[in-house]
Amino acid sequence: MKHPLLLSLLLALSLLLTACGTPPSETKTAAPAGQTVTAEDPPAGGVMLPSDTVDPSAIPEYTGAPYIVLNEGRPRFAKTELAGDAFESYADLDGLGRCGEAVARLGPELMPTEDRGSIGSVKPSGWQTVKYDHVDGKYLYNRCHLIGFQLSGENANEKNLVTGTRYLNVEGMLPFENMVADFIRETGEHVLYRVTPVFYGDELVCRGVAIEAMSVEDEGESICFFVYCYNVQPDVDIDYATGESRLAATTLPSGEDRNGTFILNTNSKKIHKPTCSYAKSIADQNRREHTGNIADLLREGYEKAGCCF
Amino acid sequence: MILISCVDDALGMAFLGRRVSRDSTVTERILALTAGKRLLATPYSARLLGDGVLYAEDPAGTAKKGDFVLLENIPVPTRDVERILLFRWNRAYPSDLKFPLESFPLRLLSKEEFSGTSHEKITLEEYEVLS
Repeated sequence: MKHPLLLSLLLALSLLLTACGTPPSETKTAAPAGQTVTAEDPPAGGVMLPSDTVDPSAIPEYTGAPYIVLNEGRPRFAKTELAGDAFESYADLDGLGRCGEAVARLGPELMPTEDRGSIGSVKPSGWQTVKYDHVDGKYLYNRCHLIGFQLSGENANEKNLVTGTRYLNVEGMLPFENMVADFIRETGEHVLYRVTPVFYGDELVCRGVAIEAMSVEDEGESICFFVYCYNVQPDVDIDYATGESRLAATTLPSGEDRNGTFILNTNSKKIHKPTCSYAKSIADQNRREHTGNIADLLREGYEKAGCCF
Repeated sequence: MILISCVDDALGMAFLGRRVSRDSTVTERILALTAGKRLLATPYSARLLGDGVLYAEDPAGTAKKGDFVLLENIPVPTRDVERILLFRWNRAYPSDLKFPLESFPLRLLSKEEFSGTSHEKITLEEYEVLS
């Protein structure tokens, strides 16, 4: 945690020099230091306030938009942070193996010159391999780069990868990365960029990421935003403490809640009917019989096998 | 007037008062298409377009019949529009200002695809606004 005096100083600086040429109109108290809050601090409606931290208690609950604007869109960079050479910096993983803040002064010199390599070796905190039929690409979770590969060329850097939903990756973060990348490619200029994953308590999966960006040479005339992207997936309930998930109960189709006996392939996560010929060929170590409600299986991430349903 | 605008996959034009993207090829195309004609834009576009453009806070309100008006970060008027030149980035960006294409009775006159300097495929659509 930062020293209180330093925190106050940073806050004062950010208020005086903050971005886009338009300083915040009013001073607010600093949010708690660090990017983690206790579980007793639930998200509530409100607007992000200027500070050197991200305060989850000021972030409204997800209501259907993949991102919201914080602090009227003004990033919290001090003007002194704009000057300098391109760099990228990633916080060390914490004791729970979680990523922290990633910050960079992006420019053409940091952009990738080679195709992206495999990042499958990295298992971010809370990582689970689970598929849902309704998710684009099936997989619920992606290894989400905090600072996108197209911006920094960072590949399998564990300090830059969080467990994020497909929705967070594609609907939330990617549009902002595209906007920044286009600007850098077109102008050859630089963008100060900071991504902060927001965790509650000891949860292993972040609730979302805050992204701040400001174009350097024109002091925010072209790029200037502060947003929060939600780490959610429509129609999926996520346990952020562990990363486990299940189909949202409200989305289960009618008729799915019938009881019965089903044969499960615990390896492929498929549900078969007992009469299915494929069910009989499941290896013993992968076979499990389930008697009960099929909706429970769907919530656990199982899918109905196409051969018998 | 003839409106010119650039939009993403969701018809997004701008986010927080700033264009969602840019491409020097598109800028060159706009200047070529309007060469010898009056092109109006807000002062925001000056760094993009340079000299030779009429800058006004309300370019649509200033424009006359046949004038070209580039709209980047201000709402699109729906009156007195003769044609629309729409450049599609074919990418997704954040946006809070959209081009209200559905507000116009339209006839597609032409459609052309080309590569930009930082966009693989840009689509230029030209519409006639039906009266």
